[in-house]
Amino acid sequence: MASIHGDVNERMELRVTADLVGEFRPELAAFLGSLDLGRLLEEVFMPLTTAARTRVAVAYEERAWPPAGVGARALRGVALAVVSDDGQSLLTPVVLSPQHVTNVGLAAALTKILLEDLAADGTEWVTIFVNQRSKVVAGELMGAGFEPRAARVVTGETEFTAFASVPTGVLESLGLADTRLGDVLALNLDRAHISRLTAFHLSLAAGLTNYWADRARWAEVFPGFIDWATLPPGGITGTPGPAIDPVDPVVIVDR
Amino acid sequence: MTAPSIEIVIRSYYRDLRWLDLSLRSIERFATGHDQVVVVVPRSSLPRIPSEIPLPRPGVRLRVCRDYPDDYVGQQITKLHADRYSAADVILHLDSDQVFVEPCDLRARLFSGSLPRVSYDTGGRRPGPDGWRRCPEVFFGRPIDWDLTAPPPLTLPRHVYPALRRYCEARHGVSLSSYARATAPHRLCEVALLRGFVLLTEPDHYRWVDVRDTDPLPECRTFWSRLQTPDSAADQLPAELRR
Repeated sequence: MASIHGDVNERMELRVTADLVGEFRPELAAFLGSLDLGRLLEEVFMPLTTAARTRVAVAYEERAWPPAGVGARALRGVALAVVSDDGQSLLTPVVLSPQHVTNVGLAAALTKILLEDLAADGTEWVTIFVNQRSKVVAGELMGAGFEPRAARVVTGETEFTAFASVPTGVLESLGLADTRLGDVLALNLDRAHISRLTAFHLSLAAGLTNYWADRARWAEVFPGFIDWATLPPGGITGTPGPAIDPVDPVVIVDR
Repeated sequence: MTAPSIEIVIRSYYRDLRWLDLSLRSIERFATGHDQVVVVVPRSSLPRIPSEIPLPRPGVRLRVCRDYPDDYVGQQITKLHADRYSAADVILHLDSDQVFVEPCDLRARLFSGSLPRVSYDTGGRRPGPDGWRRCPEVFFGRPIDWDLTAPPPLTLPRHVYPALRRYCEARHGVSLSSYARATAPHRLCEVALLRGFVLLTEPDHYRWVDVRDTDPLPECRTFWSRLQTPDSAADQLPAELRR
């Protein structure tokens, strides 16, 4: 049986861009506006994509005709990685437009193409920062092959711990490595696999919600907006952690 | 004399895969007289093919073309190089959203004796200044009264494709791909270029059919994949093709 989003997912364009704002600025503005996050365009995405190297998986719909011009494309999902020069990428989990909030096939597809792209691009480790008191998201990430590391982000009274994995390990753990993109989008998967992807993506998406609402204390996930290559002056407190730890700084984020 | 081999060439992409599947099932069910079907998709569309749409399949070869920044132009470039994807003597272009709804002998329908039927339109569906309508005039530098922009079916012998490409290099100094990429989408119509070339160079080798008078392939219904889905068009399909 086709899923609610099956038809639209078949028509969805998916690709990875290194120039999100340059290629999709009006679409990004509309997308963020639909999520009541319009301020992030100027506050986060423009400075971030100017200062840091990013890889961003995007999903967008194109209207029937004409294929170009005002309103021709509508972003429906974004997954962002800030890429460092030392083989690390900091992830912001998939963000979907409101009508696609349960579109697990699309979220999984964006995760798949982003991780495949990062692996091909030389990323050795992908990292997501998780509230140190999180059980829900932390559990999902560990089930997907992530492991806690020493790196921390401290914001206000809340600490977020780095969870890292090799990108291919995440793809394997989520059953996305050898699954056709078309089958992922259509959720042509067994029930257990769908449940696994649902738990992973919905928990991460929900875990971000409080951060977007400026309630970092209750956020389970800290978005990967830190420019890893050019950490902010005074933002590093040291504590390098074990030598083998792929991600070691502690970053203080002013609130 | 041996009858020329005929292959149907369909340039598709990820958005049209359901239509493609329907079209292929309709060809298998209703179309005769051809040899094989060749489906061409851009490389990035390959992983989008879900396992429930078997490709290749008996009677259908799958070929891959490069990705284009703008696949609307890309699909036109692919069609202008169709001879590189099919080895048949005669190539029949169809689109993914063209579906046979009745039995059809393609050799009988697409040929008058040994001459391929080629469509034109004197009905003024597109006004003279229309970009697609003017495309062959601009390309060949000669006035063409007929509207040659009618959508497929388009049946042409394979020698036309390399000859058109050589013509482009001689007249414009660039490859046909480069010419296409440098032309605004609303001013480029690949089927009009192909029809225009044979109209200007070997018109007597074809039977010219005015689409005002004759539907070139009445057993095949053309939908618009960007607005419709096979499910939404199910009531217009014969029972054998409904899922």
